[in-house]
Amino acid sequence: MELATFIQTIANSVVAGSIYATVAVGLALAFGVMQMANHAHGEFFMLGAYVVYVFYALGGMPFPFAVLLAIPTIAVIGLLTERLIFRPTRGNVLAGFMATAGLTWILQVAAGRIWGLAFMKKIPTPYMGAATIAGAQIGLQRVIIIPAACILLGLLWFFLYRVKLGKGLRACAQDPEAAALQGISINKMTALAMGIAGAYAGVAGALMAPIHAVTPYMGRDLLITAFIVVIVGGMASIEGAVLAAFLLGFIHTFITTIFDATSGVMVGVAFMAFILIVKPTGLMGRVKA
Amino acid sequence: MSVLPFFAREYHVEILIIFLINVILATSYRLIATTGDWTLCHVVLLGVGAYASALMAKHFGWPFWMTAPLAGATAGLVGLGIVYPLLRTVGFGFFIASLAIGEFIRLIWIKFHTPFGGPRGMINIPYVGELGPIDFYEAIPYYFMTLVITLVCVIIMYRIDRSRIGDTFKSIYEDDILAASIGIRVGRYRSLAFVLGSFFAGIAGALMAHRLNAIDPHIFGLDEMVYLLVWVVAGGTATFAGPIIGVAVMSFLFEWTRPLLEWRPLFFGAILIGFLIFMPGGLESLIPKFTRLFGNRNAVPAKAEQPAGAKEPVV
Amino acid sequence: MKKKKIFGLSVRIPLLLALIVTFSVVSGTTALSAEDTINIGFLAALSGPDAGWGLPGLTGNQIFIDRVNAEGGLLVGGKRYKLKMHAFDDEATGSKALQGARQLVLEHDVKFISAIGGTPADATHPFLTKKKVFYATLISTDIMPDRPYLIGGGDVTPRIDMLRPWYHKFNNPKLKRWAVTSQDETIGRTCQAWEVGSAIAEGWDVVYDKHFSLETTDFAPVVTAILATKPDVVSLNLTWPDFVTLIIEQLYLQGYKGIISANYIDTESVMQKVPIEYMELTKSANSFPLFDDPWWGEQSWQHEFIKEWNAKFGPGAPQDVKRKITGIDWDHVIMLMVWAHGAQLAGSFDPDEILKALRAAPMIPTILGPAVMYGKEMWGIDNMVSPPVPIAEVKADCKCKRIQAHIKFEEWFESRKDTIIKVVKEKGQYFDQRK
Repeated sequence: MELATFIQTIANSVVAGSIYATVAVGLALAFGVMQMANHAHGEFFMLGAYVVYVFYALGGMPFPFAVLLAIPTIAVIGLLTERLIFRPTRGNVLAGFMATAGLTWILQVAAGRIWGLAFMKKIPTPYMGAATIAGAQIGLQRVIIIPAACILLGLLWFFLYRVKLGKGLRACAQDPEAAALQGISINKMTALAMGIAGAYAGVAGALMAPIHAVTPYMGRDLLITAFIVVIVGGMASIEGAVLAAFLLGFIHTFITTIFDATSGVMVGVAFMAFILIVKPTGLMGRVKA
Repeated sequence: MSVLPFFAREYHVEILIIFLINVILATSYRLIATTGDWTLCHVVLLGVGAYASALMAKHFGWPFWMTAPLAGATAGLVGLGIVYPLLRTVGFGFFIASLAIGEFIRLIWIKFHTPFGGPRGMINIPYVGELGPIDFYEAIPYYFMTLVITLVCVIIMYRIDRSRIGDTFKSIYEDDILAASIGIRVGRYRSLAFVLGSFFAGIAGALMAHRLNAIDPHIFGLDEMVYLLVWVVAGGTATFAGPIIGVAVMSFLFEWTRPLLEWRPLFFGAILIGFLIFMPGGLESLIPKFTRLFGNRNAVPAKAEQPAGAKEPVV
Repeated sequence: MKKKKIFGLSVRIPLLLALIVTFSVVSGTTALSAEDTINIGFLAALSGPDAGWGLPGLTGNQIFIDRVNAEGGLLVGGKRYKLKMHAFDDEATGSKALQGARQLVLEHDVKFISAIGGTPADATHPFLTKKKVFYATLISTDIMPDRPYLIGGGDVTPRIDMLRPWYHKFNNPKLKRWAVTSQDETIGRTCQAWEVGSAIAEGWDVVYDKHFSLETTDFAPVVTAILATKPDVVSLNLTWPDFVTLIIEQLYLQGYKGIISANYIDTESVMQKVPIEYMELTKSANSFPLFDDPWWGEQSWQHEFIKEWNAKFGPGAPQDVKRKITGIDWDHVIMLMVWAHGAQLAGSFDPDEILKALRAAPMIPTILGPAVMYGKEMWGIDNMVSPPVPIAEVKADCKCKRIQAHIKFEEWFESRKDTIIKVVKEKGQYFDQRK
């Protein structure tokens, strides 16, 4: 591998890892609080991209503003999902997961009906051009994902460890009953967790919109990757999910560059199976998957 | 079921064939689910059977009566291979890990053009052929062959379900720690259920491959798996008949909603959510009420409803 | 001893229920059509991710059918027949396609099926061959000698992929290095083999000849690898439109300055990612013409089609499909019109007669120009309808594609076929090598 290719691949790995991490933290958080496993998480990502399509490509708003708009929009969808699907199926993780598989179909069809099928949506690149690092060319649009993801993950960390509400969320994830005894409302916490999960999936999709083919089915491929990240990281562990996201980002990107993307996904799955065999709790988890 | 095809038009016989194959698939899914392990790679194991049977028939020229059981055996062996890492997980972890591992198998078919044909799959899979004057290419003979095989498979699975082994499966579902404490080797029985379920899925796959004459990785994807979940959830899994009811009712709805075109997945998504929230026991939970209504005193007492997949992971 | 029942009551009742339900499926009857109506089928993905290749085709076919019916029907053998279309969603899978073929033929007695092709063609052809029903595919690589009623060619793949090496060589005789890539699936592999054969026959050095996998979401590494071979032309063969856009974006970002050539460039999408001047500079060439191209002429079939389409399916129209017209809208109807023409020539709907008449015709009128039945040396049977192939380049002034050349394929192919077929065979993609 040439040096330029190598550097480019490293940069692509970091970008992929950033996106995986932003998508997977929400999944891990929601799973930690009352075991909400969201099959439609990939569709939240897709809807985030459509928010950018509607407000930036069609509405003419500035790109960063459209990305920020994706946060409340998809958070609301997350809240609705919690209220309408996860709360009625609480205590039965598989039922929630399967019901959100139904939601996946609903959201895919709805997006196709509202914004049309045919080819990918036309989204202008907000930041054209490329950065040159040691001979490697990396599109600016990709580069900005890295600081954006860092800020988002930092904010989440701050919220969970420094803000009272966030601490309550962690307490609820660790022991819901004890948290309830402390006067923390489980319903509020599950809603909050799903809101955050939606917001993070949505904003990841929004950031990816200019460099990804935006179609109603763009979330499908992400789902398996995101769940592998969560399993490898240790189901409910957010730190584990971030670590696993970057590991998987490197694995996928390097294998894709050297061999092909199919092999990349296969090695990712094999990695997960390996982790399950040697350390069933995942990299940083306490709970067996 | 045995006189039906003579009244039906040819196309409807074809739908009945698909229905019967799906009955094997759904019933074998329940066999695994009785231990509490809901999987997401069952349709992939159907594909393992289909590919195995197709490869054997094409490259070795073996007849269907040989390839079908061997396809089941192949699927069973593959099931045995993948259940090893899966056993390390329970409940939801099992579910999601099986999705990833199923995807791995599907990617193998896509990646290796020889012998699997890559993304386009395999074509010119031999037909079942003739037996004396009966040509199994025709719909009605194939229907009867499928009917016999389905009945044999379903009866065997019913026997397993009612045997000690079946009871052991259910005891693992009820409480795996308790089961382990009285000397049941939980891992072994979970593997056994998984392998048996895979075996029957493989046989269904063989029936499918030789009827379709062409298979590809797309047929065994996640969307098809979710349709299987729709059947199983709609029917229920507490009783043996639940998934069969699910397949019957949902197949009818599926054909009936054809004019919806691109709206149809939305419709079935709503059905899936509706069942999980409003009727978690599935259609089978209506049966005891139904039989009581007709005053049948021999009816089995209403079982506790078994909501789809309800099982608390062991912490 | 009490006889053991095979099934308990809890099983028998549901089984009975299942029986009732299935019986009600079976007994639901569909009225068979009247004598003077000819049914045609549309068997393609109408839901799910592939619907974009299927659903639009319904519009073009419907326009043609409405036209014919407005004239009182299709005049065949001195009698007029109304046309009626029946659609079936095959979800781009073989199993559903076979079910659909059975429904269309057994229930609706269709004589002709419009389809996308690929796996559904593989799964349906034994049944359709037996029933002698035409199956028109978008993908010529589906044509095989054991599929006598499968016809293709309305979509210009892979002839366009073969003509682009000639076109770029003709315009730039000094250039040498040809790089080509497409997605890794059977159609991509086959079409790329034909293109590589043609590039070699035209004297190019093929420096890159690989496939990227369908799961690729980031094309930076792929493009880096391509550019490492210092190509003069980067050809994307029949890379799908969404991928084309993402690859061109990467070519632009990574500073590529040579020629870009692809099967289908969706100019509007690409323009969002790279400046239009870049597209003109790289002479981005492709095959899907625009129907509003002045090249066709004001009084052309193409311009009429656009007007009619907008009136029926455009903004504010009764059946507004909420999108602009695409190439898929007219891609399917090409073959439907060829079939209707064949039936008129033959004076009958007998498929063998239609094929005979079409093959005997010195010229078959199609949307893309006068065609002949061709393809024996490519697919083993003359079932490819071969109209001239348009080659369009992206122009900055109109921000659109404009036709530059309209090339007759057959003469070109005859003089180069030995070299090309040899390469295709070496790559294992000749029709008789797929078993």
